Amino acid sequence: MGPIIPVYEISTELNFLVAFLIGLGFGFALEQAGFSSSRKLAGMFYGYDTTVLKVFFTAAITGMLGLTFMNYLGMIDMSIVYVNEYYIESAIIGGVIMGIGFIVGGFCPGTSVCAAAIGKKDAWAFLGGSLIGILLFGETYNWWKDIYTKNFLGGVKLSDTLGISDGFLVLLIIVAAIMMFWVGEWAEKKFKRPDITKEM
Amino acid sequence: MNARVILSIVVLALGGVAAMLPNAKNSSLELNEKALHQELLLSSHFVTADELADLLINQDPSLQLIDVRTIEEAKKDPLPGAINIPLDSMFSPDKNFYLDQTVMKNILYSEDDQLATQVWMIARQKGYKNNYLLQGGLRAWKNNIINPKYPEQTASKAAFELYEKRAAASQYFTGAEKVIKPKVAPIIPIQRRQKKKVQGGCS
Amino acid sequence: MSHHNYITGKTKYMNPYLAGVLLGLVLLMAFYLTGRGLGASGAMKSVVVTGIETVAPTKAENSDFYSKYIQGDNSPLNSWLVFQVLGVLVGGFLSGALAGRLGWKTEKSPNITSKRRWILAATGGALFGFGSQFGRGCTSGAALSGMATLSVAGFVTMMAIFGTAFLFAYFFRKNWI
Repeated sequence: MGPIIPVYEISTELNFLVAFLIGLGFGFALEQAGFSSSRKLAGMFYGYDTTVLKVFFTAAITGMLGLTFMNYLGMIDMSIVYVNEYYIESAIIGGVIMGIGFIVGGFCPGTSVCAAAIGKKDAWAFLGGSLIGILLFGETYNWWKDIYTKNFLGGVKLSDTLGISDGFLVLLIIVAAIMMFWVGEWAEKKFKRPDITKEM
Repeated sequence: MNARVILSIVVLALGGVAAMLPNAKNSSLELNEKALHQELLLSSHFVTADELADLLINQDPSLQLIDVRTIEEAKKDPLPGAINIPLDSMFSPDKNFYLDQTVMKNILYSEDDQLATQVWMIARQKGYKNNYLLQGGLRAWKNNIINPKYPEQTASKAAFELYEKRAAASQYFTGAEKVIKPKVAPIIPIQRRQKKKVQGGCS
Repeated sequence: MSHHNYITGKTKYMNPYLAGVLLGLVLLMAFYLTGRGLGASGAMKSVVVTGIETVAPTKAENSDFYSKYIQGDNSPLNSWLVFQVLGVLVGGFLSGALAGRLGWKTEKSPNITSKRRWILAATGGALFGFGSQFGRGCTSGAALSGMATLSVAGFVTMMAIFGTAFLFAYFFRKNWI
């Protein structure tokens, strides 16, 4: 039963090898999707390219469907799996700052590594910048400490908050995502910029 | 059909199935009630007083008797080699490893079946193995082994043989007490895997 | 799947839905094998913490923030996420090599200079780095992995990131289109 490594206490070396292999798949999928191009990523916010929306939601849906079924079949012990912890204030503030960073810098940390790997100089600049940003947070941690640790509720699931079953929530997200995909395809036609997409 | 349509149909169908699933069981490690009940009915978890006597006389090294009564009660009439862990401290972190291990064959007992069964069920629900119950508890032990009843004259040959055996065992446990070596083999706490939540995310 | 990118008519990138399923399977594999999703910013934090620890060890140990990530003699670089991000680097390179996308260049709108693009990228990176610490994870660690486990934090982070980016998109349009 999964998760394999924490349950069977696999050695550190093998754990890191697994980390590397998973990263390999992660990087490959991101690059294949075109996330190594900042203008393709930014296209999401101007409508000329909605790859981000499609890939992101398809991946999230695949993940949540897989986890739901694996849990049902007893293949994974969900009580061990990490569920992101609920600190509502810091999640919103952090998300807003990241959102500005996204539109200014054109990458997120994962995609910047991916773009840096194929030689994008701007991605290296983004990576350097992100180290500075983390350093800044570390240096000023005491200023944010209160709000950073406020309202901790543990790993809260949205389905529990809404009082519906996990599977039903997944279905709702799927329906929402399909509608967004449809809007995305429409937007790509309406806001198309062949001059940009040709270069990507 | 383009990729979007295919994907939409597939995920919608899967999502529909997912929506009909009962809400997630959080941990399938623990036995559910039904399976536990089944096991109780099969009574494969019982060790009879006679079997226990055999194990004790043969000084089975993997045997560990655990008295789950309170300390005062346990002091009065302990079984040879038994350790006393009262129910309330049984599942505390420093005692837990007695039950949660894989080397010893634990036999739990109390005055009768009840208290020990309670402990056994909790242990089983936690997924612990190698724990057994003394059938009938200490009472059965006393009635059958320590003070065996002489069978009626009309009883079968087997009953007499059983009596002979029990009487011998009684002698062993009451008369020749010095023969029983105190248990010296310490239990090595087997570190069961810690069911710890994975630290994840980017933090 | 007749056309992968119907704007250019090229088949350079994988179909986004297919790539999404692939990414989702990698994510699922990560959960099945390790009980945690994917991440990126955590590895960068390890780099920063290692740097601080090397330059000013006492300071690192006294800081509430850095000390959380220092465990005895074990270097913070010896962490799961660091190896995972190294994998991303190699995986991205392999994919780029297979698709013929390797090249030392700066991608930017023709309206801006390369220098401006670098400054913007670094600024955006700094904001993202800062925000990822505040939000306990980035797009991969908090939003994507968080959503897969149906965590409230994941959905909130995702909406905050994309919502804000949409809101501010207008002001930065010259840099992109």
